[in-house]
Amino acid sequence: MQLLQRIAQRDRAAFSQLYDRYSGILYGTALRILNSPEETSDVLQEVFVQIWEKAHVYDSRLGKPFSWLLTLTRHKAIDRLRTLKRRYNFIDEVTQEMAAQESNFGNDEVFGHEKASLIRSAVETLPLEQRQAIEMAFLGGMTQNEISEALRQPLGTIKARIRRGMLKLRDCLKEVL
Amino acid sequence: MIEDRREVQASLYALGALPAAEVREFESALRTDLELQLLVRELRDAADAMTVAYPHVAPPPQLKEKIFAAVDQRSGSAIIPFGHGRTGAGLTWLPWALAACFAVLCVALLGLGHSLRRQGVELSQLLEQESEKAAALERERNELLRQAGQSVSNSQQQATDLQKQVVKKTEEAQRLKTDFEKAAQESQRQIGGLQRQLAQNSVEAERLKQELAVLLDSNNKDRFAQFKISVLNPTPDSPPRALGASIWDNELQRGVLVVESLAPLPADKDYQLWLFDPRFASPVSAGVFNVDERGAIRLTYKPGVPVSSVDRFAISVERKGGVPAPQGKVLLVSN
Repeated sequence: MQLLQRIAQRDRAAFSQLYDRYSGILYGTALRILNSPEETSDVLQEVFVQIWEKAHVYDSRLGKPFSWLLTLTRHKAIDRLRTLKRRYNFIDEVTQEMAAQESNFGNDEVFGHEKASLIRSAVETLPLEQRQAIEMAFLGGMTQNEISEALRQPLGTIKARIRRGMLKLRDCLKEVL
Repeated sequence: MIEDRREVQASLYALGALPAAEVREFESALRTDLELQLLVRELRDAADAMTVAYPHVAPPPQLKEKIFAAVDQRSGSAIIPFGHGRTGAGLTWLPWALAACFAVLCVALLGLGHSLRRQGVELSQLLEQESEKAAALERERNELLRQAGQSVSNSQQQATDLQKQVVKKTEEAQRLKTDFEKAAQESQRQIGGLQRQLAQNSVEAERLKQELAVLLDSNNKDRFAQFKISVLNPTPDSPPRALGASIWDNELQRGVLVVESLAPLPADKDYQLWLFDPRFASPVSAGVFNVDERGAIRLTYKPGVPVSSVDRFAISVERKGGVPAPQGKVLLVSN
């Protein structure tokens, strides 16, 4: 039985396992959105409480468990970002990422070490402007018009960047996922 | 084949960034398009996987405890604690009565609990079986979607290839037809030309035959005694196939020259014909000429001064307009 089904039956051990497996990647994602450890901890607490209470509504036909958990986390973090009246800042994040390039990637629990390495390689092949537009949408919750205004680029350019980047990422990861 | 506009929409939809105004229209298309459904699923998976690339930051160690405490608090809030109210002096029987009721209630609840637990176990097993079936169906559905997408894509590709081949073959057939028609017209034209040439040649042959008959007539033999017929042969300076012939009528003081395979000359040069009369110390000029692109000419000539007889003929290359006495290379000469 899957972890989420067991959690829906109030299985604390399953809940603990779920936390150990996914908290790292979900925390990293929320931190990338909010850029604040305090806000990120609050958001992650809300996410896991929601998982405990709403595990029974998870529908495997609509996606993998990780997708559901990531969607919950992204939405809560983006909502928090909007409440704080802040905007997702891709440039700062890149700077931090470059500084942390030597750090240990610990998010391999979800995909396994080998797959995670392939995924990282695929993401690194994306041109910066494509990755920037994709992350502003995915992590910043920004619409195509907001991205266009923020980057001062025509709307058509933003659409083309997102399309090309997503298709390239899909093609690179098709055999991996 | 998914059009570009749909691919943009699918990308934005997978990222959760498709404008609300477009979502309904896109989802409507999504419901009936298996290939589009597969694309959205793959794009979502790719976007989700992207999070693996972010640098790892471990959550604070106390966060897990806080979360469990929050969960416990929420679960516990539903439990109503048993009351500790004061007991009146006149109601000393009340605790015993309550205890008896409680005992009866416990027995009933135990029975009910046992029954519910058994049902719960059965339901859990049933749920587990259904979940496994659902997961298997989900896997099967994904595989069918993938195969359907692949099949549609392959069929479209094949159709496109076939269409291209048909267009190419049609163009080739049209080109061949045009070439054939042109070749047929050209052949027809050449046949007409050859037929005309044949007719002219027949007329000419007939005329020559009649002239020959006249020449062979013994009564006319003396008439040609005054003619000198000479063949002009090439020298080492002339083209190897160059050749000439001259017929000189001494009585009329004029002749006919025919040459072939001489090289056409530049604009500042001319061929010059010379007649050798023993009465003169140097040859007598009979005029200048040039040849056509085939190196041939047929001309009638007349020397500048009267000659008594002609022993030999020669052709040399001279400057434009000719010279009084030969200076250039001699290309043809008779014996």
